[in-house]
Amino acid sequence: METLNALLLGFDQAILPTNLFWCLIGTLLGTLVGVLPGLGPAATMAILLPFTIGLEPVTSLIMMAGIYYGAQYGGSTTAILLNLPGEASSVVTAIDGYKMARNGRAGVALSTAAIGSFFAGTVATLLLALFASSLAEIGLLFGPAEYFSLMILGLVASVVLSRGSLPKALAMVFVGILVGLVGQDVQTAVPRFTLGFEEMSSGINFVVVAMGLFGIGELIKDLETPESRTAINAPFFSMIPSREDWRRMVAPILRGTGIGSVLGLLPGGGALLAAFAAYAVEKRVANPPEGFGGGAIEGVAAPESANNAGAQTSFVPLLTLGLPANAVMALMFGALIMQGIAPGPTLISEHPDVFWGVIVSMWVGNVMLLVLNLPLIGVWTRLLTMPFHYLFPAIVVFCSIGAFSLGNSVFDIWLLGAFGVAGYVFAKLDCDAAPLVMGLILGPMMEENFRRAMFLARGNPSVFVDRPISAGLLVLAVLAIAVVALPKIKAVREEAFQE
Amino acid sequence: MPVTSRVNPQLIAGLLFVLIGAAFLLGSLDLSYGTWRKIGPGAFPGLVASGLIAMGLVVAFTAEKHDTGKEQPSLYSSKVTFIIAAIVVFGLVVRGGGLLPAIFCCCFIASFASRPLQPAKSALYGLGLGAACSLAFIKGLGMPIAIIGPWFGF
Repeated sequence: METLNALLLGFDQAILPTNLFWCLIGTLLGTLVGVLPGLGPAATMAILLPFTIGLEPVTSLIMMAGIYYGAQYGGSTTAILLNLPGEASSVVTAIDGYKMARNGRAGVALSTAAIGSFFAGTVATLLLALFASSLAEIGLLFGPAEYFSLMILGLVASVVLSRGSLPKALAMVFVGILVGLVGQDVQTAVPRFTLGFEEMSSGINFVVVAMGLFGIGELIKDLETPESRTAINAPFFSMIPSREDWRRMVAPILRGTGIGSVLGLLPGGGALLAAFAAYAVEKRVANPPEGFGGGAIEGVAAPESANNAGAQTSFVPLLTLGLPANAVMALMFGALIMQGIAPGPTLISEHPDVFWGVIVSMWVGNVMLLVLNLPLIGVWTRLLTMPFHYLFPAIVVFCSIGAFSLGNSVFDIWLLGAFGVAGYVFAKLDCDAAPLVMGLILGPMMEENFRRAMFLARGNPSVFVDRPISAGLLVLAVLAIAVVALPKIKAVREEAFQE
Repeated sequence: MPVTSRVNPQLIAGLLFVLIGAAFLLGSLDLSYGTWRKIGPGAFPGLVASGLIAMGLVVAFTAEKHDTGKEQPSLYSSKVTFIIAAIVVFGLVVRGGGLLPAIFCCCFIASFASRPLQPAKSALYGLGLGAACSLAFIKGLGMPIAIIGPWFGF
């Protein structure tokens, strides 16, 4: 009953005309960047973050969330029609989806993806509504020691699940933490690592770093890969799945939704991991007549359900514990902070309208995508042929204006340039920027909780292992590292990210 | 090429990490490390910087094993220069020149990073973009900056 009332409160928020409008804008923008390869949801959110200051907190979050799950839909559209996964999480969809399109079943593949996503989105929303409050109550029991350990676990998980080598990802986390620590020390007000710039004493704005690394960095990298986009006219025939198709997609959708919902909850998880895992499970369980890779409807239904479920449940750790699970959630975290809302276990009780509004709007957004996307597919595929050389100067301009508008400070523009160069260099050196952003967000909080925990424990570092919850979290973190370091699992992990 | 074969992205990345770590470690030495009970502002950064140096060394020393003979990317690209120059020029112009000229310059310079548009076309595009952004951000969102700044006598 309580949940129902809360959901109704959320509905009140979600169907406000302004919120509906920005939800639509968010999902459309998300679909757009999902369709365009190169620019991911993280980059888009980073570029748009500064412009959301003027919006109500709940509205800006609704739009940001729309970009994230809209991108999942858009990514699968191009994956199926053009074998061009616009998002990393649609890479596995392309394997069977494109084959289906080649067999003249593009319409059915798209419908399957949309139906699976919608079903998964609905289930994930319900799960969020049911379990978020209890998780937040657990979060309220956490002291500084538990928080410190939780953040360690979050960082370790994001490292373990990132692409590339483990030491590199760890190093990127450390760089992020250090950049996050620049500025005045919270406890003693001593300026740290400011190089004498007064502008740096309040710290380096998270948004500028994210824009530089994701926005500008990715942009330069995209410019270097020659344009090779040609729209293919896939024959559509029927959009409506046959009775046989329905029968075959039910189980994969259920499995995908389950896998995605669970994996999204894990720190470091999210849409990407969910899609890969669901496809891997489907390969073991299902036995389609075409075989996987030959246009099996199961190979579209499962990962598409999983990535949407994962995208949605990955909001849980952020909204209940204040722990961003991946780089996109780190950006949501930044958006919350910008709006003056502290993400954490008190969010639900202090800002119920924000919490429930965002959750319900995700479901509303999924309805919009279901209704809008299928008719708009023609538009999206035509957009692919839009010349990139018109788009990118605009992106550079938006980033510059965004950086400037954060605090009307030209200094932020210099920082944007600097982090743009850094993003490019890291990309060239094959270093994923996502762990850095995680470190950037979590670093300062880790330090604060570490110092507070040590103070409360009178300088005894064993506090982190003496308290059971904290010890448990640390054990999990150590296990995660150990498991990945094992040679056999290492091979599997590398293989999984190769696909 | 026995000399250049060691200069691979892994090695550069490792050395870069060591360098960043060392810089922060040096910086943290100027700050108080405090006591176990009252940890000072320098301790945590010092710890993380040491970790970064260690990881950098690991990355650098495992460099050759990971080198799969892929094509070595060249670090320099003229495209970076144009994009970064566009951002810097925006920063230089925006206060004195105003938003419209800043966007115009930024867009014009950035467009060189791709297949060259005809200059006239790209100038026109810059002007259009500038006008649209000025309307949206200054008139619409109330950004406190001039459309045409003091340099032009306004």
